[in-house]
Amino acid sequence: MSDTEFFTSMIYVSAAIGAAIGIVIGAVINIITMLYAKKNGARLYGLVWLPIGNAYVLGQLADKFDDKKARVKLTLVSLVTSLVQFPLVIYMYYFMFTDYIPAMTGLLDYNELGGDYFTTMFTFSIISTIASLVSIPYIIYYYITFYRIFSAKSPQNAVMWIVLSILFTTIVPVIFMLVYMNKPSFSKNPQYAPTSEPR
Amino acid sequence: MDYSYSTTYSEEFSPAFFGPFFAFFIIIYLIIFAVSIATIVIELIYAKKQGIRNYGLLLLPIGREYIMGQMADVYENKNARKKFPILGGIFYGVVLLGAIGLSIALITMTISIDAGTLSDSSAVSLLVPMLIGYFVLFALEITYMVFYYIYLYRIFCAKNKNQGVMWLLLSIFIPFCQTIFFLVYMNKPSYSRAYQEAAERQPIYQVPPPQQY
Repeated sequence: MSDTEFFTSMIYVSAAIGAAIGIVIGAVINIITMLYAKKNGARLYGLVWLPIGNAYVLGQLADKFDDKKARVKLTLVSLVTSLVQFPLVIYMYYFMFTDYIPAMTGLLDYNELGGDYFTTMFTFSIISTIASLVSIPYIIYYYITFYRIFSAKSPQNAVMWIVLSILFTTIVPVIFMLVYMNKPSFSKNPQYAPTSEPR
Repeated sequence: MDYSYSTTYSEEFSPAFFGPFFAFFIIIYLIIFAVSIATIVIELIYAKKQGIRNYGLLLLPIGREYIMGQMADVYENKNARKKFPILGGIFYGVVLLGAIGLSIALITMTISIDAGTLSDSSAVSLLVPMLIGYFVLFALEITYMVFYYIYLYRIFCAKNKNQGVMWLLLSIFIPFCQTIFFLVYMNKPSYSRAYQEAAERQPIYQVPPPQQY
């Protein structure tokens, strides 16, 4: 086996292992989210397994705190982002297999390093930058939704939870859902909140 | 495989090829430098307009936390102006100690490798404290970041508590938004949480509820 073949096969093997680990972690996250949604009275909680349905379920949970139609808005933002990002991601994978991996493996044969390699890297980084820029509105609204979900359970610590869940992307929302699964939810609306003032 | 260097790509590594790259990066660094200076000036003016005394402390490591804590306390008086400088002091102190310790360990290791006297046990006795220090620093950094963003959130909320989370998320993902916030809200007054909540409740008692059809 030559170095180039070894390098190529290593890329595919590591990608396969990464995908397997990702699927297992994703399944655990979806199961916990589904249980949380079920116990907190969300409708159609099975939709967490679908990409855009996930946004609908999370939006319902956020609306328990502050009914600003997050279930509609987040679903729409998620739909638009997916529609824009899908062709970019498909093109990125196509580009990866046709140009990027051959360029990387070509690095082992020293003669192929040159202008072509830089063009490939530059194009790849431009495409991935556009793909990530497109998702910024979705990410911001996603975390605002999560802020409302955290606020419904513990309004005092919601900011701490949101900062932690940005620093440790997936694990913290899951821990939150496990901890607060059976605790009561509160609404922001004053008519449901206990208050000492006369009405 | 032949790993000897060949000269076939020498033209691509010539100054003519890399000149535009260097020019591009120099321009980018100049822009970043200008934006950083502008950010510091805007923060100073913001702190001054909020009526913070000794706002010049913003330029010093622990003074910065003190000024931020003062601005956060306007929204909710939870003594951030005392807690945050203490946390910042511990964080910077550990970073300083870690840097000194790392330099000493690396110098000791280099000297003993050169002298050929580096045994396994002495290597472990140098590496283990380095690893422990790394994890302590990591934990402290996370703590510092969480408190930093919580106090930043209170600074945002002092202007408009309903948009605090939006500004917080924007400034986490796009740090430049923090500067935009300071620029936009520079001349607006800050209000406490109690005041803003009272102002929100007031219309409910004064204005009759909308008709339901």
